[in-house]
Amino acid sequence: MIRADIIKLYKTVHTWTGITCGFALFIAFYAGALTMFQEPIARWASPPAVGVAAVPLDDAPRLLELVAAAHPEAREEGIKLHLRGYENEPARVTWEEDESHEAGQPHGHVHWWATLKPDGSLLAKQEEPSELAEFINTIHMRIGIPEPWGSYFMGVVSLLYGVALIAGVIVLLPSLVKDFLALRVGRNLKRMWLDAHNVVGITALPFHIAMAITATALSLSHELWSLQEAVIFGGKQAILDERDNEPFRAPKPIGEAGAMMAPSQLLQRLKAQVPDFEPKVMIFKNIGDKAASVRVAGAERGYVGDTHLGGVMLSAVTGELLKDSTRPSRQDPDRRASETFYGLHSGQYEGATITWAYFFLGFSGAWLFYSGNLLWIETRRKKACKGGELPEQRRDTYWLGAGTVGVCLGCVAGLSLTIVAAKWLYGRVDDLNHWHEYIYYAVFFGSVVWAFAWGAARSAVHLLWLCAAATMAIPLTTLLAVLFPALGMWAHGSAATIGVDVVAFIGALCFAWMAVATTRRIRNGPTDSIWSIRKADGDTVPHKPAATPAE
Amino acid sequence: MANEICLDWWGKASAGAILGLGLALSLVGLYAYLGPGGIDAPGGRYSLMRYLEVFVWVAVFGFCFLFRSGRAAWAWLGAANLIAFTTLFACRFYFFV
Amino acid sequence: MLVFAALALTIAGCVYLYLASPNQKWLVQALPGRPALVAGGLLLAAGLAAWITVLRPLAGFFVTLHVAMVCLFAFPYIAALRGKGRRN
Repeated sequence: MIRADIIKLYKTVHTWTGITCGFALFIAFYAGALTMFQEPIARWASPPAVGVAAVPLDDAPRLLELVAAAHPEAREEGIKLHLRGYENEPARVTWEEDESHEAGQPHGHVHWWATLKPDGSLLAKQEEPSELAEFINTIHMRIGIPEPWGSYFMGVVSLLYGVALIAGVIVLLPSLVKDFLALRVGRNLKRMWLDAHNVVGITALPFHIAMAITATALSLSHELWSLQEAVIFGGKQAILDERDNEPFRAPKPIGEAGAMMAPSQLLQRLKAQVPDFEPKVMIFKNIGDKAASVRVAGAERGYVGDTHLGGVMLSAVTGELLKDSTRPSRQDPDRRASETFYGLHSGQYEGATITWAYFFLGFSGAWLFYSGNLLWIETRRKKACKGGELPEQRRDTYWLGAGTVGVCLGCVAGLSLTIVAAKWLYGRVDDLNHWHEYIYYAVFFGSVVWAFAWGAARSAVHLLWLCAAATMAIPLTTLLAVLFPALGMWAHGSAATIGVDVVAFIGALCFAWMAVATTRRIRNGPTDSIWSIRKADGDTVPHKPAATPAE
Repeated sequence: MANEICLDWWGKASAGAILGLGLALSLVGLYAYLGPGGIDAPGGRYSLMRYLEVFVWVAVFGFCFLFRSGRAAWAWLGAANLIAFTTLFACRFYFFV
Repeated sequence: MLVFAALALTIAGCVYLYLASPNQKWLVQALPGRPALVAGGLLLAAGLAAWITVLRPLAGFFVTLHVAMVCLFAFPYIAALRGKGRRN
């Protein structure tokens, strides 16, 4: 039996860590759940393009040759040959070039794609792809705070999240077995919110522990590595790092011309040498040289973290395996363990089952922090005595209620609207990737201001309807694109992109249902709460039953 | 342990945050030197170590509130740090130079 | 095909575990504790074995774990929402 004073102490720890980190963690988990479908979202947001199909794989050697001749920088840095035909692959080959910059200075990159014209000549174009999916990922990683402060902040938040988990479990230990899987809906609202909070926290505890540890480690990677270098390795880490990067480095060109093997043949050679590997993209370097190489990125199924950093390198001349220590089955045990941690964070293994499981677990995590805040407010609620006047609720519960509504729903609505903008604003604004940011931040901060201006109860209804409308706009936009092609928007037919619309449709219905339920709550629920609007209206008349005959 | 455990919020939290990180670095550093393959093990190790460090850090930070007072937390964790760092530096500067 | 069997076994195992809990809200009365727990445990073990056959031991274990987590937090919520719908 745990002593009562320890429980009480950890309750304080849990409350403080939870309240301080709850907002940031909600955003990280909600956006993180969306990043489980990063690729479908990227495909949904990509405008129609030439596509991979325009150049059959058998014609790829000529295309590669022409690109390498016309773009020496691409030949050196690597030309990507796409294999899957997804909508976010604008053409059969793409590459990146440095923006013009002074040597040694930080600089951006520009993106190119290339295809063959019907007459067999080269068509290369510089075009920036949609960075919507990456933007959602940066919101997930750093909730929109610029680097390096975003990483520091989320590192500390994730660390405190780990502490909150330990504290929460200790607080729960005495009633853990008795209340396991209980969710008692009824008059006792505090009981209900406590159950609602505990049931997601305890059943998904292994997921949360893994997330707290990996999120802290990933956010603070650079800082931890410098500390390791200073304290543990003392100069050796750079050598290890160098050795670690070696398998990714292409052989240096030797200046002698060599005949390239065709990509389709290279893939056959790959299949013969590494049977279980699923290639996604081939990256060619130094085409035309005798030491030309191709790195094939892809997945080796069955491993946790099956794609991250994985890949094999073949000679582009002979198809022989050059470097093969970075795919999962060849990694050293420590690298494998490290990649397993990463895979557990990103849900990068198995396939659809894990993607969906992480999607739901991500939402459940967001709900954990939302319900935690609601519980804090409910616990501090001043109840009305029978027949007495309504007590004034504590100011801090007003502020936390408004903040919770504004931040959480602002994030949801902002992300939905910025996704919608990918189709509406394409071709209408110069810098769409920046517009994604402007739209998200405008909606997010607007919602926070709105929540504080209108109070938690009213703004919750307004903002839930905004979330429902913004999310419903995702499938409606696709529908409009089909019905009115003159709008200049598009609707892809692949299952993945239709899936985005279907999931958004269902999500919008959920938000609408929550809006209806919240409307009922603020009108008819107990008045001695920040979630009621009745007293604020000066409505002292006892509430009449809803079914007043209209005479 | 009859006497009441005191909250001593800042004393304990600072011990957990600072000395927890110290303990994490030194213990995981010992793994780097004494684990399979030693300090020259293949390169995946330094990448793995950040996860192990955070694991120790979170555990120490989370459970440090069980100490009777902030002073006790600093004393016990300080002693643990001292031993762990002494062993680590012995490995780094003496045994595996 | 084996993936669907593995998924079905894992979910069925969780259903038994949930119905064996005294706090379950799906049935009027919880299933008898021990037999239901054993049945749930066996189904989960079969699911785990199937996932391991599809993948590898570690990945199989984690897939089973994550599917089970989703089921176990979803079932109480489904029960609560159903109960609410019935009352209204």
